Amino acid sequence: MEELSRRITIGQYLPTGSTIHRMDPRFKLVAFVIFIVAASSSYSVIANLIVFIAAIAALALAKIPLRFALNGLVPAIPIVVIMMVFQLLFHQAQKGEVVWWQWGILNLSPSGVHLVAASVIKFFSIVLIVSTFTLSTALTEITRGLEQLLRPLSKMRFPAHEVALIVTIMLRFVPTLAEEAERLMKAQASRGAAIGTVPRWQVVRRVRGILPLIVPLFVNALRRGEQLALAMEARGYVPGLTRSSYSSMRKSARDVVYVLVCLAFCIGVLAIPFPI
Amino acid sequence: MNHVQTENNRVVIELVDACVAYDNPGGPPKEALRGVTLEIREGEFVALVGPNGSGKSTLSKLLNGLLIPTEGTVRVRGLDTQNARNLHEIRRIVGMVFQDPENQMVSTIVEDDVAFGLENYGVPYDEMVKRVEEALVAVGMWEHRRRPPHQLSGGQKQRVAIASVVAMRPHCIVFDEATSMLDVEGRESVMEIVRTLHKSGHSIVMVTHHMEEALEADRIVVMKDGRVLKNASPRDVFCDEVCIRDAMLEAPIATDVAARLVKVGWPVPDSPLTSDELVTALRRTIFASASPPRRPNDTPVSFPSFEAKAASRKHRASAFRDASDDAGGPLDHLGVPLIRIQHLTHTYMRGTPMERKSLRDVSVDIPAGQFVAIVGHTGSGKSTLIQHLNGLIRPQEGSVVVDGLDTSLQKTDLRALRRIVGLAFQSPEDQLFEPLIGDDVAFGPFQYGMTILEARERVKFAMEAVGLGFDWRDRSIYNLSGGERRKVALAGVLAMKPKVLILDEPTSGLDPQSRSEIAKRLVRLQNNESLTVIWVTHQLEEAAQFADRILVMDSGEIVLDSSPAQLFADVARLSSVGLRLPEAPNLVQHLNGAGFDVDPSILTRDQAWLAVDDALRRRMGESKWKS
Repeated sequence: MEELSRRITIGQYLPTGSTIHRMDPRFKLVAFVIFIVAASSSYSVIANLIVFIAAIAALALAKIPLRFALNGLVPAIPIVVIMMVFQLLFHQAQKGEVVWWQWGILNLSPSGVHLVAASVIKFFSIVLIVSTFTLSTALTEITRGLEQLLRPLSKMRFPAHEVALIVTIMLRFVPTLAEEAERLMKAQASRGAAIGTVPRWQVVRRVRGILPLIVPLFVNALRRGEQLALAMEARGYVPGLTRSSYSSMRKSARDVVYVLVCLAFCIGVLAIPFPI
Repeated sequence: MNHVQTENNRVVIELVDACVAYDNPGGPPKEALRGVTLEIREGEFVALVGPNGSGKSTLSKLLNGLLIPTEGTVRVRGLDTQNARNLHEIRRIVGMVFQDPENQMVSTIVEDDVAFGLENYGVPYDEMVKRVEEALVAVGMWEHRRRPPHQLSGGQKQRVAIASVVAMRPHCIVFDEATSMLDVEGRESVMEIVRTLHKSGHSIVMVTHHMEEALEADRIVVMKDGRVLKNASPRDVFCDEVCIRDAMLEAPIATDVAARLVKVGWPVPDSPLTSDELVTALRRTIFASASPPRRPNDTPVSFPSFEAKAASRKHRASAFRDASDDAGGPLDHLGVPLIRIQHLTHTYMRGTPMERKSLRDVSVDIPAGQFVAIVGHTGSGKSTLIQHLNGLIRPQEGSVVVDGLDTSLQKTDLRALRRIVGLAFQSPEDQLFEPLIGDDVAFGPFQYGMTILEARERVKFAMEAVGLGFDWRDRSIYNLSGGERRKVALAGVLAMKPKVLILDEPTSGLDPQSRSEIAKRLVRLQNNESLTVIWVTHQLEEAAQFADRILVMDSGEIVLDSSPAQLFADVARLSSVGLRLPEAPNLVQHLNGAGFDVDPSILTRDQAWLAVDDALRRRMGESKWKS
């Protein structure tokens, strides 16, 4: 039987206490978005390489080992390889371009290679940037940062705080429910349930086989919800009431500098006309 | 009022004639509380006990206005819970810790969770930082403040829940069965905090099934059928045999032994509650009596059932000794034990940074028909070991062979194995999914392709084995009590008529009566159906009472493997793996330490008083002979 919890990487946080870790989450979120824009908007190989190097630098600045950041990548590798091959072969050669090889609609051309090279680098850059951000920011910081950034919207009756709380509770119960699902799978398998042994084409049997998992999972989740609501009420939670906040988000000059550097970097990458 | 109110007897919570009735669609309203009048005073430690469904939980929810009485009043520091505007303040005064540690944490990080309540009251940031630190230090969780809840043990989570309440600086803290889902270690750590809180002047209301916890209270409130049956000091409650029986409680062993000695004529004074008090009382008994009381003819020296049990234990114990003498001796008639585990090693999350060895080179044989208890702390590898026995986990290294099926071979049919080995996890009632009892119990038999008639016969067998009549099969699962749901889940496993039955904490969270009922039914099954039972528990009392053999696990290894009597004789080794003696051997050890000569092989309460009686008689005979 599988260890479900092993697959869940959401909320993995690696406290190394680096300067990136200590950034004000609001600024970190903004810098993160800018960085992602820079990584995803350019089709130039050189621009993508520059972003990739910058991503590695950010990772190093956050003191996160490369191995750790790439961990989540392993399951995706087959899909990435298949997509690369498809992109390479199905890419239409540009007019007047040398075509190295052709067979029906398949062809191999320099512009195809260029495109694939740019996308592969882009893919790795984005993975590194996302990892750097999530591994250096605790979930609560992300939700609190988001709450603060959305706060101006609450003047337009947008429930910024409630949304942040909902996200927090959701993230809080992901591991709990995953553990529970694992436990239920094992329990029902112990009673002879044929979980994971029914062939794929027997759809009805497969769906019926899920009921013993889904029903108790929902019933238990609802019960948990009820108890949690009671526990929150017992601790004085009243929806809509003004609350104070246990977060010391104090921006420093460094945060502003980081965001400005990111912004300048992004504009530079997008504005400079790189040859390839 | 005439007398001057001192700080000590100011009332924090006051209930006057409080009634609660729940809506019951298609029937008269269900009365959970029928007129409760009660006071909780400042600095008082009150235990709330009673069987499942007696209204304890409902009562505890009245105390901070989570429930509003349908009749009568509840006032907290004079604030009526009936008035919704008072509730915010009331919940600051009366904090509450719930049963399930998992379902009361809001945040993804410990310290944020502790701050949640403070945020609700608009406490300014700097003050919050101070109070969160104070509270986490008080429960010993400060160094875990940045960790997510799912990385904590149950006991640690519960300590965080307490810190969350403490940070709000309440006057009174209600613990609603807050220790019932914890292991011994977790429970002890929570009780330690409760004691400290009580000492520092907090009022404590503790809803509990554990009598040793209730014993520490200043006052015990016994509930039964929505009413207060008795409201008195622990001594008065535990010496009231009628009350104990009616509320299905269990007196402390010292009280029990003393009461039974009194019954046969020993003048034991003072109704002792602890072993220390029993020592004093027994010394005074010897002083006070010129000769031992005459044995009435109709009272046997020892109960036949006890002797029979002892004899059968001796018989089985010798069978076990044959089995464990590995020097090529006869094991079973086939020459192979039912379960053979060899050099089993398991690593969780192998190849990740969270990698952790949960089993290290475990080898053990279990012959058919044995009742084996596996004890050890959370994380000692018990759970991993039992999951290997029905192929939920295949061996990474080593082998597991059950009834000839080797799970280390890929071709082995695991479903066939699971028909032989029935396994029920902790809180198995959580896995019920059919609306009707009978359907759920029949799930296993149908999975193995049995006909309706066969399945029906299996369901009948299983339901009767756990003590639910077959006529319950058409009842709805959702109207059952916790104990009944537990029985249905166990029946679901028994319906497959397994040869081996593995149970992970089958009695946790139940009241003392349901606990012993389930245990006794399992022993009967073991005898009648020649079932092999493997019982995972952290309650050594249960292991002492029922098991032929105890395996003690510690950090992935089986560190001790012996019969209960041998194991409890070796106190030093037991405490070296952090286990405490069960109540009966513990009492005997205490008495012998004080100079009484009680048979040290005692395992249960029923044996304990007879052995003490015997020791007293010998002592009296001796002293008379000397004079």
